[in-house]
Formats: sequence, C-alpha cells, structure tokens
Amino acid sequence: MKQTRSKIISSVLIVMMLMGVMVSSAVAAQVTVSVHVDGKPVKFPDAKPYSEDNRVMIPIRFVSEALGAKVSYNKERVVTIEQGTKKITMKVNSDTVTVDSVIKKLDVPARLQQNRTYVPLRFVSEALGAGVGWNQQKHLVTITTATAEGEKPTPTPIPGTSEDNNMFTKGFKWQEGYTKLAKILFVNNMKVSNGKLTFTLPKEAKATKFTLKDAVNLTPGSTYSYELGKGKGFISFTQLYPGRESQEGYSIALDSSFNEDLGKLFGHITNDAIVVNMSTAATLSEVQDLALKLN
Amino acid sequence: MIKKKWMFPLAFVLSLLINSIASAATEPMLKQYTGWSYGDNYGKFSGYVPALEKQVEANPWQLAQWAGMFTFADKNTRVVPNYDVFNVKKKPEDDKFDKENGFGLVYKSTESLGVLFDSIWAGQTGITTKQREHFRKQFSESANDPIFKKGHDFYYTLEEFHPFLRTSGIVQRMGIKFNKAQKVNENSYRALYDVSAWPELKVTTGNTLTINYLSYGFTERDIRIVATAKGKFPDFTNAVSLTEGKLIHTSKEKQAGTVQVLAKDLVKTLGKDVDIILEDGYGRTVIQSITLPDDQTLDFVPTKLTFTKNGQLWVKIRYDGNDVISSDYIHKNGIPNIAGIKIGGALTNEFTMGSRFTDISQTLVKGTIFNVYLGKINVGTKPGKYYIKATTLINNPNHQERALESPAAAYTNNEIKGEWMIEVEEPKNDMVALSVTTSPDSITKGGQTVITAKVKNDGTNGQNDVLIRFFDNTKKIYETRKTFEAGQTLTIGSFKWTGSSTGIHNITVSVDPEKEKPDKNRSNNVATTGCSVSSSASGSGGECNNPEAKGEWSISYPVITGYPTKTYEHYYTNTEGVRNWYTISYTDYNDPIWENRNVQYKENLTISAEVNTKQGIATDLKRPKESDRESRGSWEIIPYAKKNGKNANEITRAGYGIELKVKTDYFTDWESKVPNGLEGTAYPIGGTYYGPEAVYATFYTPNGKMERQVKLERTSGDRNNATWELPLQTITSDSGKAYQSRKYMTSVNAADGYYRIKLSTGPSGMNGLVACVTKQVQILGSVYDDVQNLRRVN
Repeated sequence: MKQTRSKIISSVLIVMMLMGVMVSSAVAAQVTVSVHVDGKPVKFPDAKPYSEDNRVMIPIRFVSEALGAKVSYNKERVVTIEQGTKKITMKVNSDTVTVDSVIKKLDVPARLQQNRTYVPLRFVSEALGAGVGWNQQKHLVTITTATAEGEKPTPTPIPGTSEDNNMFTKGFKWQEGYTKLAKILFVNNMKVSNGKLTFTLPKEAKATKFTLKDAVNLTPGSTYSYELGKGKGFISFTQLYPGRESQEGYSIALDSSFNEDLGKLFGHITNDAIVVNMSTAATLSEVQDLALKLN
Repeated sequence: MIKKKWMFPLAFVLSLLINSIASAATEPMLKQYTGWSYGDNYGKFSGYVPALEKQVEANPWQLAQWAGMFTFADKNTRVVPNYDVFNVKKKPEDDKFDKENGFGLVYKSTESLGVLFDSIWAGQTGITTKQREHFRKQFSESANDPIFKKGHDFYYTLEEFHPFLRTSGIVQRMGIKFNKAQKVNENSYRALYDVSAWPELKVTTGNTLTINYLSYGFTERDIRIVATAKGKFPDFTNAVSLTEGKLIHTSKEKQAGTVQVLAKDLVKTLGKDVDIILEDGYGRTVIQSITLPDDQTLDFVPTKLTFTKNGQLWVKIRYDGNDVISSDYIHKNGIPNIAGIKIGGALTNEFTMGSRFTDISQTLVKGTIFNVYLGKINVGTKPGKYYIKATTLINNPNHQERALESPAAAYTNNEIKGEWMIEVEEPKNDMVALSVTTSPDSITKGGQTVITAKVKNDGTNGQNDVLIRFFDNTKKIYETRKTFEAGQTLTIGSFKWTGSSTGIHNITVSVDPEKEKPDKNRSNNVATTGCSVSSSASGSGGECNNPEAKGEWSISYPVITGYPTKTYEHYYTNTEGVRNWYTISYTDYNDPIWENRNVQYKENLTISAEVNTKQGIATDLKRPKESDRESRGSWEIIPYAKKNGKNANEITRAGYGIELKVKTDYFTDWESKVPNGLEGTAYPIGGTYYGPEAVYATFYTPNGKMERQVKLERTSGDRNNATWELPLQTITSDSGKAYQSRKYMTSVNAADGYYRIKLSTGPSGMNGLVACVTKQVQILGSVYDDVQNLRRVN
C-alpha cells in the first residue's frame, strides 16, 4: 500500500516537476483563499487555493476528500474522483471532464501547480453536487454538502448480496385455516434423534421425499426414518381440505443447506430439520413448539 | 442456382432442430436442478397462475413438455423443444391437471437462465462473442434480481425449495414477447413467442457525429448510447454518454432516434479511434467503430535556419494550429529536433546532431515562434573555408516522442535546409627573415666578420619578444628577442663572429624558431648567406714544389623536407547536450619541416711552367735575321747543350733574358650539389670560386740570393684556366733600337750556375689554394763572350 502510494506520489511529482517551469508565471498573480466545507476549514498542507483572473482555483484532492470522495491518479495523468456511485475523470491540463460518463467543460482547464491538480471552484459545485459560496471580501469559499443539509444518502442495494434476496424468510408462518396436518405431524410424531428424522405419515396426508436425483411417494400410515445431512434432500407433506381452494402443506429439509439460500439462514446442521411453509422457514424444534400452541 | 444456395442452409438448420428435439425430448430443462422428469406430479406449487388469475399456495402440479417457438423479426422460428410447462390444479381435490392452463417456468438461477438464453439465441449471427456474452450475462443475471421474490407474479416455488421464474415473464428481458399458447393436438402444445429485432445503428462522421439508431422491444426499457475507446467493450468504466448521461426511455416496439455530438469533445476524452455502442435495454448491443475526424490542426513549421558566427545552429519554429494545452500534445521530454550536418572544404565530415526543445508555454497559441537551439559546430582553428550544409528536421516525425501534429500531412513540412561558408582566416602576422649578411663575406681563419640580419613583421598586428636565432651551419651562434610594430622591419645585430674553421660557413637567421608566435607562413622565416673562411697562407715567398693543391669542405644547407601532419579537433553538440569531438588530420603547408643537409665540396689547382731563353734558336752568320738578336749565345750554347744533353732554351748568358710561360688550372664543384628540397630549397649560398688572381715569379741568383719577384700577367685563358707570362716591357738594344719583350733580364754579372725561378699562385678557390713549381736556367758565360766572339768572327 505504501509502495503504491509512494509510486503515485512520485509519478505526480515527476509530472509536476516537468510542469513547474510552465506554470511559474501563473503563480505570480495569486491571492490566497480559505475553504470551509460544511463550516469546517479545510487544511491544505502544501498547495493552497488561490484566486486568479476572478476565478478561484482549488486543489481538488483536499476538497474532494473533505467531501468524502476518493481521488486517484493513473499513469495516463487522469485524475479519478469517486464519490459514492458518482465517478469523475479528468485529464490534467484538459478543459474536458467526464462526470458519470458525461463530458463537461471547465471554463478554465485543470492545472497542475505545486504538485497538485487545481480545478476551478465551479467544478466542485457542478461535478460533486455541493453548494458553493464565495465571500469576496474574506476570500472565503464555503462548500455545503447535501448531507449537511439534512438529507441522508440512500444506500443502493446491490443485487445478489442483500439478505432481502433470500427466497426464505426466517420466522415460521402458518397458512391460516390450514393447520390440521401440523397438529398431527409436528406434535407427538415427528422427532429428531441421532441425526435422523423419524415420523409416521398421517393417514390423511400425502408425502414425497425429494432428492436432486429422484422423488419417492411415501405411504400414509407408515413410519419413516431419514438421516439428516448433506444431499439428503427434503420431504414435502400435503393434506387435502375437500371443498377448499388450497391445501395444507409443509416441506421439511433433511439437508439444512439444501440450497444456497437455506444454507445462508441455517448453516449446516444435523441435529434438526428445517420446516418451510409459504417461504417462511424455521427449525423443526421451533415449529413443533409453535404447533403446540395451535388450537 | 438460387435454389441451391438456399437449400443447403435450410437443410442444415432443419437437421439441427431435429437433432436437438430428439436428444432433449425426455430431458426437461429443469432436470439438472430438480431431478424431475416430464409427467412427474407433486403437491406444492406456489405462485401466480395466469389462467386462474390468482396466487395459489400449495396446489398440486404436473410437469409437461411443450415446444417453445420463438419467431424472430426475419420470420425465422427457433424451436426450444424442452420448454418446461407446469399444469396446476385449480383445486387440490380436482382429479386432473388442467393442461389448458399450463404455462412455462424456468429454474431461477443464472445458470439456468443461461441455458434458456442459449437455446433461444444459439443461432444468432452478426454479433461478436463479446456482444453475445454481454447479452447473455445481462439476461442470466436477472435471476438475482431481488424483485423476484414471493408475491411477484413471475416468481414461483415448487415444493418450497425450488424457485422458478415464469418463462413468458423473464424472456421479456431479452426483448421477447409471449404471443399465445397453441394446442397442436391433445398431447402437444406450443408456446409461441415473438422476438423483437436486433438494434441498428448508423454513425455519420464529421465535426458533428450523427448517430441514427433503431431499437426494438416490447417492454419499457432504457436505451443507452455511449462511446468508448476502441475495443474497450464490454468495459464501460470510462464510457462517455452520448445522451448527456440520460438514458432513452421508451416503451415503443420500434424506437428510432438521432443523436448528435461534437467529435472534438470525444477526441479529447477518448482519442481518435472510438466505438459507438448502443445497448437496447435488454443487453443487445450494436457497435460501430469509427475514426473521429481530426479537425484539430497542430502543425510545427520551420521558418528560418541560422548559423551564428560562433557556430551555433538555430531554427525558428512557428506553431500553426489550434490553441491547445501544450502538455496534451508535446512529450514531457520536449520536441525532438535533429540536424544532419555535412562539412566540406578545409575538412570533410558528416554527422547528425540534435536537441530537445522544452521551453514551451502551457498553452500553444497559433503563430507562436520558438527559437530552438540545435547545437554547436566548432570547425576548429585550421585556416580555410568550410562549407556547411544542414538539413534540419524539426519535431522529427520518426521520433517516438514527437509532438503530435495533425493532420498527418502536417509532418511533411518539417524540413528546412541551409548552407553556409565560414572561413577561418590565417593568422594576420607573417614574420619574414629578409636577409642575413656577413661583412666581410670572406675572412681568413681566425678572422672576424660582422653579421647583420633584417627581419620584417609583415602583418597588421605588432609582435612582442620574437625570438631570432643565428646559426653557423647547424650551430647556434647568437640569439635575441625583438619587438616589432605592425609592418616594421628591424635590423638584427650586428654582432661579431669569428671564423674558426676554414670553409664556407652557412650563416642562417631563423625567426621564431620555437614557433611561439602566430605566423601564416613559416617558409619565409629563414634567410642564409655564406661566409668564406680561408687559411692565412699567401702566395708569395718561399720555395716550393707543389704543382697541385687540393681542398675540400662541407656545407650545411637548410632544406624543406616536408610538412607536418597536424591533428585538428572540432565538435558538435548532441541531443543530450554532450559535445562529441572529432579529430581530423591535415598537412600544414605553412609550417614546413626544415632539415640540414651536409654536402661535401672539393677544389684543386695545378700549376705548370716553361722557361725559354731562346738560345736554342741557331744563328747563321750568312743569313742573319731579326731573331738572332735574342740568341746571340746560341753559337756556343747549342753545341754545349747538345754535348751535355741539355735543353739549349734553358741555358743562357748572364745578362740575357728569360721568358716564362706558366699555366694554372683550377677546378671546383661548388654548389653543383645543392640539395633538392621543397619550395626551391635549399637556397644556394652563392658565390663563385676561381683560380689564382695572380701568379708570382721569384728569381734567385746562382748564388742563392733572391734577386727579384715579378707578378706575372695573364696573357690568355680565363680565371680558371690561364696562361701567365712576364709583363711586357720595352728594351733598348745597344744599337739604340727598342723592343717589346716579356723577359726577365738576368744580371750581367751573374756567375755561371743556375738561376732558380719559383713560380707560385696567389690564393685560389675557397680554400686559398696555392700551387707552386720551381724552374731553373743555367748561366753559361756572359753577354761579353758573345761580343768578343762576334768581333772575332767579324
């Protein structure tokens, strides 16, 4: 990290040294300027802001960093400023800046002076979306960010990484009006011991045991015992409610990480099964506790 | 032909259908999630039953097989044979399951929805795999939509643990609508579905993009129209909304619309190449790739190339284009510029240099001029002309880090060329040794001469402390330092020098021998003269018998033997600002190499003489003649000589004269061997050496006493090969008659015996050679003998 930084600094220095002769004439007419970001003065350890030809030029690095942006240089002398999702690229000594893929023109080209890239103040307001004020008498620049004014940035969810994208929700729910099977399946029937799930399929119910290879229908009234663990699949239970639009059904995973989303919620466990209903999931133990409370 | 084309696909589709029906006839789609089979019936169905128009909580159910018939917009129908249908008892106690009330369910999981998706869309053509996957994912993830939970009309649980979604409800999320249930016969039912058309998109490019779209569906939905960088789909991270960030919400089966957007805004954010994407709210997409018009002009133009006096190369660059942020288009290392340099002339070289220009303002404004330094070219100090060609390429289009120019043609005007001639001038100063003289130029050994030189500063700048050194051959004999005004000639010396050895001494003056001063031409820095030092011998007096004299000497000549190869360095500045040095070799012709060459010379001098008393001329009394007057003693001398084996002409009477004929021959090879160097060196020392200027005859009487010395006259020949005789003088005879004669008259009183005549040259040649020979004449009687005898005869 240190190496990289020192490389960057040294390459900037080299560029600056080369530019040094050219800019010397411009330095002569400078007036020192102070900068406040959200009321706090910005410290400029070396290069200071200045006013030239009625334009305030500021070193972009310190102001950008004060605004919470990352600033980097690359070999092509392109300065990249990233503030959240906003991305600004600018070539040193060019009057063209790309802000979020849109070309914008500076009224004064970005300049290199005293090892720093200077941009006109207007750039800060246009590109970084900050409010800028200028006090001519005090030679004071005041920069106000949107955050300071009370708005909070909304985090943008990144697809595929949020828990919201899990197909299961932790916290078991019963399908209202469909709990008969639950009472005979989860109460005084289904149990886990020695890494095995044992149950007697109620006569009113149907069940199928699924793996990724096959599916086997179970016989009502029979007792089954299945090992819990990786690759063991799941069992789907249903019970008809004649005359009704739907039926009662539960899927019980013998493999707590049967799929990726389930694994994310429960990890790899072998001392309990996972019961899913209407995309809500809980361990069998929890469901059995809930079942005890059913009327 | 047309029939055949259609026959094949139709037959193919049918065979696929039949096959799929046959293979899946007994396998419900939900089988793998529940284990159930068609015909199975159990007790707990929970959810909304459309035919009953109510939610049931725990009703018995039966699984039945229908066929799902999905009819597409093109009227083609795709059959899903294992379309799972549940027949639910209206009341749990009913005897039979109500087939008429059956309806389809699909297992609620992403996987299961994916299977359903595939069974419907398996045959969809005209889309990419990514589009299909995006659509499939979008749909299958509906399974996780938190909206589907207990209480939702499309949500069901069977046996509490198996979640389902109503098929007719969920397929709406694919743009599909349930049409009706169809009873084929007592045991065969179908569920009929209509599939909405795939969305359509047409983008017209320009400065403004015009996007016309059609989207189909049966439900409320949000249509999204965005742009991404090309190929990014399905990544929407940096997508740009083309509808100002809002989605197009509709519930129309066919939603048509037009969206317009400025192209340049997209270019700035996403670049030029983008995909326009419509997503119809179901995950179905239509994608159109476009290249956005590059209406932005960016052009760097070189306007002037300058080469400064101090060797700097600069280029002016003008920016033509839209006003832009410079760092968006120019690399941090700056604009790369290069210059290909060719140098010709005094040196030849070729190289590339360059620089990166970084002094750029933050905003590039049209018309801005940049003055860019490219580098420095230093051609060094070697004099000469240099031709410099520079081909400069600004914002080097081939460089990886070049600045962006647009349109592409903007890179084609980046070159600028320039040519210059620069001259590195020679040094202004030229020190010249004008002359060196010795006075006198000929001395005897041990004697002194005064040496003087003249040196000129032939330049426009003064020169201080110029070293001037004198040499005797190679030996340093004197040096001094002098300061010269521009153009000034100074006399150096004089100083005395003693000739301590015989021979010719090459006296040399050398200006700035240590090369301390700039000098454009050092070949004129030396002047020489010769000084002859001879022995102190004179040609008079003394007896000698040395008819041949020889001499030799050596002389040292300064000669230019060559020129030094020098290295020369110049540099240019490269792109990193580093100087690159080049070393070039060249020959410096203005700084010659002097060497001394010794040459041996020789000379010789010979002397020979004849005496003639004329007494060998016989007289005849009967026929007297004029010449008889010179041979009066012959009457006795001839017989005497004959008798004694002597030469009558070498015998005479005391008082008669003697004639002399002396021959001298001198030879020297002086300066016939001057070394042959460069630039006309060596310079001849000059001077000519000759035989004797004088020959002396010294007469000694028979009793050994020197009687007289006579300087002979050269009567013929030249200065080297000459004949010498006694001077002409007038003699009066006894008869009073005068005669012209070259005779030495012996003393009339001389006793019989021998007159000795020493003949000696004066100093000759370089070494003062002296040759001498001694002759003798016998005295036999005196003139009186002839008078008496003559009288007696008479």
